[in-house]
Formats: sequence, structure tokens, C-alpha cells
Amino acid sequence: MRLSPLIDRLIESLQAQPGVGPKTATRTALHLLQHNRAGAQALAAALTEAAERVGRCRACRTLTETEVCAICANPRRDAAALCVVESPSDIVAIEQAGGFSGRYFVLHGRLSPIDGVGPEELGLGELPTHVRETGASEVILATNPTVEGEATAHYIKESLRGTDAQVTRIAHGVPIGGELEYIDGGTIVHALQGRRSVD
Amino acid sequence: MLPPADRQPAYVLHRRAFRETSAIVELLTRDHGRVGGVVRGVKGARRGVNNIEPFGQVAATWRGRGQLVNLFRCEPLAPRRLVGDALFAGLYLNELLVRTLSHEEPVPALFHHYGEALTRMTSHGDVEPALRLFERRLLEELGYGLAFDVDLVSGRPIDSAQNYLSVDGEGFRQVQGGVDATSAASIGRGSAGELMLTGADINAINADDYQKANVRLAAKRVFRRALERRLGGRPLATRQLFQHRSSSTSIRASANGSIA
Repeated sequence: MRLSPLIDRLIESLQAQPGVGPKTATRTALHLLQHNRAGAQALAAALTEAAERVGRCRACRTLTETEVCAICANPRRDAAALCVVESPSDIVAIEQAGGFSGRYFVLHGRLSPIDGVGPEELGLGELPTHVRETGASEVILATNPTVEGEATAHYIKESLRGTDAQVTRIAHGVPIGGELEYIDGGTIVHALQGRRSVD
Repeated sequence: MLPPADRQPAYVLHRRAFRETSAIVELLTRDHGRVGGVVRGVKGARRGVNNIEPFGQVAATWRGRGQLVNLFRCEPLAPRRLVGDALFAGLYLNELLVRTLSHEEPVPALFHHYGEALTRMTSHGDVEPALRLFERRLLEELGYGLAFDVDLVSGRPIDSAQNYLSVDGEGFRQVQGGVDATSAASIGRGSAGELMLTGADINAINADDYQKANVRLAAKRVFRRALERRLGGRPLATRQLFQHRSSSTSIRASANGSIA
């Protein structure tokens, strides 16, 4: 159903969000206009400012409006460990889990030659220089355990051969609390290959 | 038009995220050639059902028509994990297939050859022979096969002691006089840009014998040239990946840098 040109435009714009279809967009638009005008103003201002000012960290390429992001600028973060991830949301996941106090490098994607994503699109040319400049002694490859993620990890491993850094890969296997009988064959094969001696 | 299929054996060539939880996949099916389709629910709770990754074998059930069918189910049958050089080589094979096969062009033998190539690459550290074997089979299936056994002009068997020039899309013809057959340049160029090979190299390629480095180089050039005719000028992206990689590192690679 068409409401008015402005409201229709708002509904259409709200669908730019992941997981939001016409129904949710309509409900959100009407709710903001009916019950929360102040919230709508704040949302609009925040969106405008973020879209204009947020760029990429000069060091790790994550999203930030400052030249260097908070993690890279934090002197207490361990510069010796550099964790390479596919997207800023992976940083959020790792930070929420805790347990890692090093720094990051964000690729904003993964190698996918058929889709036209090569090493240049991911900033992989900068990575060896970045590793040398920061003096990282370990580079942890935390790309996803998909074929493209593995290809990306392999490429990075090869490209860091000229540096002194030790290159490691995050472990893949049975999730904590998981049950073997419900786990797919690929993961089980991987988990068996990556077995380790009991401490 | 593509008929519906139930649990059709297929290899996953490529998968690309589509909308929130769906994926567009390209399959090499046993009976219907390359098939593209949309699979729903590849992320989230149902992921275990549709755990589809390139190189894996699946049983595909689809309905629909046109370029993209509706893939109801893509049950993983045999996942396959390629690592290192084999992983890059596998991505090269997949791109080659996506680029050279049109949708729904039945290529039953290729399904078999693809599986064999993956097995060969998984079990041997040396992936280059597997790539050349597959390229040869692919060209044959596409109708671009080359004659490696006879001189195109005389019809006589290829003579190991002679030099030959490539004839695009067909095979080889002997170089007439004036060329030193013992010249070390086992792979030069003819005056019209044709490839020049020794008879010994052609015989080795015909026997799928890739023990010697010069045979590998010759075969790579021959198959690359033949495939280029089918690729229509746009280079393969995975090949660029190999080049990037070998230029930035000192990995083991054959004469001119890459294995693909």
C-alpha cells in the first residue's frame, strides 16, 4: 500500500538494513513518526554523521572516524600479536569473547577470484609492510574456515614468508558443548586432522 | 529446458552469498552439466543441512527453469578439503569450468574427470600433472581437443627427433627444413606466433607423462593457448592469483612462475 511520497521513501530507505523487509520497514517508519519523533531525529543525525565521517583506520583498516582506531591507538594492546580477520564484525566477536589482547588487520572480504576479489582488493599488498613496521612476531590468520577463507589464509602465509613473523591459523573443529553425532563430516575430518595431545 | 532432478550427484564449483541466508551456487552435475541455482538457508540454524562448499560432492534436488533453478536441497555427500597449492589449483579448475561451460550443456565424462583431478590433487603433493590432464579432458569434452599423435600435414606419427608448430584448434605440423631440431629451445615461437615444440615433448604430453620440466612447460603453453580461444580474451582471475603469489614469494614453481 502506498502512504505518502515521504513515508514511502522512508520505508524504502529502511530496507537498506540487513534482515529488514517491507513489513518491518513499514512498522518502524510508522512507529518513529507516530510515537518517537525525537528518536527519529537522533537516528537521522547519527546516520548522516556516521555515513559522512566514518572511514578506515590507517593501521588496521577497520571502520573508524579517527585516523587510527581505538585498538591501534591503545598502548596496552600487544603489538606482537596481529590477528587478520575478514570483517569488522569479526573484531566485535573476538573482543566480546575476550582473551585476545593483540591488534587486528581487517581485509574487508576474502579472496574470491571468480567474483573478482583478488589480493589488491583486500589490501594484501600492504600486509607484509604492516607486519614489518609494527614488529609483530605472530600473525594469527582468523579468516573463516570456508574455501575462500582458507585460500586467503594460504595466500597470506605465502606472502609473509619474507618477514620474521610466525604465522598461525585459528583452530577449527567441534564447538564447545557440541555433540559429534550432529556435526557435519567436513568439520569432523578437520577436527581429527587438527587433534592435539591432551595436556 | 532443464528437467527437475532428485538427488542428482554434483560437485560444488562456486557459492556466493545471496540475500540474508541464501546462496547462489554453481554445480557440475553428473547428468546435466553446469547448473546454477539458489539454495535457501545456508546460514543459521539449518546450515547443517545445506553445508555446501566448493569441491564437495552433494546430492542436489531442484525444480525450476532458466539460468537459476530453485535448489531445494543440497545434501553434502563427501566434503573435500584441499590445502596449499592444491587449494589454489582447485579454485583454478572451478573458475575454468564456470568460464568455459554454458549452463545445462551435458558433459558426463567431465563429472568423472573432475572428481579424478580432485583426488589426484588431494593425494599427491604435485598438482601440476593433474591440472594438465584435466585441461586436456576439458578441451576434448568441449570439442576443442588437439591431435597429439599425428602430424596434421603428413598424417605420420609425431617423430621425437623433429620440431613441430602448433595449429590452433587442431594439433601440430612438422617444421620443414631450416630449423635445427636439436636446438635447446624446446618451446619457441613460429613466425606467425604459433608455438614450437619438439616431437619428444608432444609424445610425452600424449602419454600424459609430466615427469620432465620441459614437458610441463610445453603442455602448459599448449593448453593455455587452446583454452584462451574458449575464454574470449578475459584472463582467468585465479591465474592472476598464482602470478601475484609467485612474484611476492619464492615458492616452488615451474619455469615461468605459476602452475596454472
